[in-house]
Amino acid sequence: MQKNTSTINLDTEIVEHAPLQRPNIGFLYVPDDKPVFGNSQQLAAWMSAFSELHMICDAESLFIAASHRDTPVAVLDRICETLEKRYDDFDGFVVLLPRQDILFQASNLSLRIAQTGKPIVCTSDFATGLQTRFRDYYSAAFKSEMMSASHIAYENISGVVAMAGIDVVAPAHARIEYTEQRPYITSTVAGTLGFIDFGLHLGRKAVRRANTKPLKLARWKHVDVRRIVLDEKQALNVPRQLLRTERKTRGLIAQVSGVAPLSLLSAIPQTLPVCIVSASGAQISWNGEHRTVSSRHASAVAAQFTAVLSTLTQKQLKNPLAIERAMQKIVFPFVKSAV
Amino acid sequence: MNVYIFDERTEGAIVDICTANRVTVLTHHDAMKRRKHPSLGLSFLDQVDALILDITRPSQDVQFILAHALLLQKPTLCVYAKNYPPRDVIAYIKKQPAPRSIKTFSYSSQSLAEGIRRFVSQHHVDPEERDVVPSIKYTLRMTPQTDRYIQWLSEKQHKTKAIVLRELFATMALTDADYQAEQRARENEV
Repeated sequence: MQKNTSTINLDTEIVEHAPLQRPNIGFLYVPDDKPVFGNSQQLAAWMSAFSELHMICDAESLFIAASHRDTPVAVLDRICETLEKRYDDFDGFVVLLPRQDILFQASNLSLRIAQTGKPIVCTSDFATGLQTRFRDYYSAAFKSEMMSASHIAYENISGVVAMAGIDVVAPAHARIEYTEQRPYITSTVAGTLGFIDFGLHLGRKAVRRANTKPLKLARWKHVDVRRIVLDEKQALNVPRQLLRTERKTRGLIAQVSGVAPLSLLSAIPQTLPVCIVSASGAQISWNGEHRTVSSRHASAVAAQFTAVLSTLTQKQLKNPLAIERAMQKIVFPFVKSAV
Repeated sequence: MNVYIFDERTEGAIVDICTANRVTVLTHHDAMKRRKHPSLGLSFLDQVDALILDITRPSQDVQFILAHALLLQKPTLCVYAKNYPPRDVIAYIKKQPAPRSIKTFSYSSQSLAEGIRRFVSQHHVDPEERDVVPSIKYTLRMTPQTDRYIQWLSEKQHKTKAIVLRELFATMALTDADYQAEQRARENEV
């Protein structure tokens, strides 16, 4: 039955409220080997044309000057440097990571950030091919995702989270699902912190915001952990130049698209700790020993591999026993304090 | 017709008006109570056909939904109390190039029902009407032999092959006595 609206007094004088405080979001962009934005001006131009985003928040673009030749730790250092420098200026951050690195670098970031009271939302674009990707940045689907990521960044949640699609997940538990429409990030119940559905729905596992809590980074040393990306064909007969690491290299992550062949391990020097990430999972190898850690969360294991090596001193890195102890720490699901 | 309603001012008056106009309503309160997301479409707005938002006192939540509606050009009615226009929000809406899918309406106790009824009737598609709109996409492979026949029919009737096929099936359904009997039985059950 329709209620007679004239019985409800909708014409009463409205008490004027202070204008709504607009949230401030720091929008970090990490370029990959074929970046859509080559410099900060191009990124800023895209952001200023993104009028729908400005409706919900004040967003400032922060271009991370990183090259795909940089080691993962070097890229991470630049992201953390920016976060440290600008932490007090924003209510939260969105970190737009390269699509092939999203799970790995988001896990790395969650291990590197020891404490934060604000949300740091890691996301990515998933379109391939530069032309398609450029178009994608102006598509409604991608913009909608960026608005959702920004919404999370000013909501009542803190810590490093990953999102692309609907779910908000802990990076270590995240996995990418490929659909006909577009890939999205999801997780098992263990890693799901919330989801977007006409607003952010937070689960019990999500840590709530604490603006006064300062940002603290874990103490990592500048250990050279290299990362190579191989396709299945390359992995069968690994070109020598790809495996030629410098003397200072202390660890190697070999990311294989597809299944890693057995011959790959024998091609890598035994003295070097190695983490092979492939469709069949993450395999760690050091001093002739091998171990498979997780089949579903290989990127998170690779991040943990980087983290444990980065906590070792130069002296420890030359000591096989110390390496052995460090490698034994790699378990899934991992305990942050152990790293 | 499914309509999402964000209303923190009218004490459910907007919901009542929509229900009286035979509209299925999803309120912000109900949506936020859900423990699981219902579908995996491109956007959460895929769940509804239109939105009605009270923007008299715009919160961050309503601005988030409105920004999505602007981006995806979802039919939206933004209502606000007469003499209390939220100027910033309206400025954003008016900035959009025409034709705008977002309409604004300043209401009083007397005009609210009429404003909503007009919006609903503009976007409401009758279920019977929807039944004859070709909205389901089919991908099917034909043999060259069948294709030659459809091509021949298409040229003869001066109609596209899609129309020829649609009409062929529609005639078959109408003249199929068994199918018609089954349909009537189903309708009687309902």
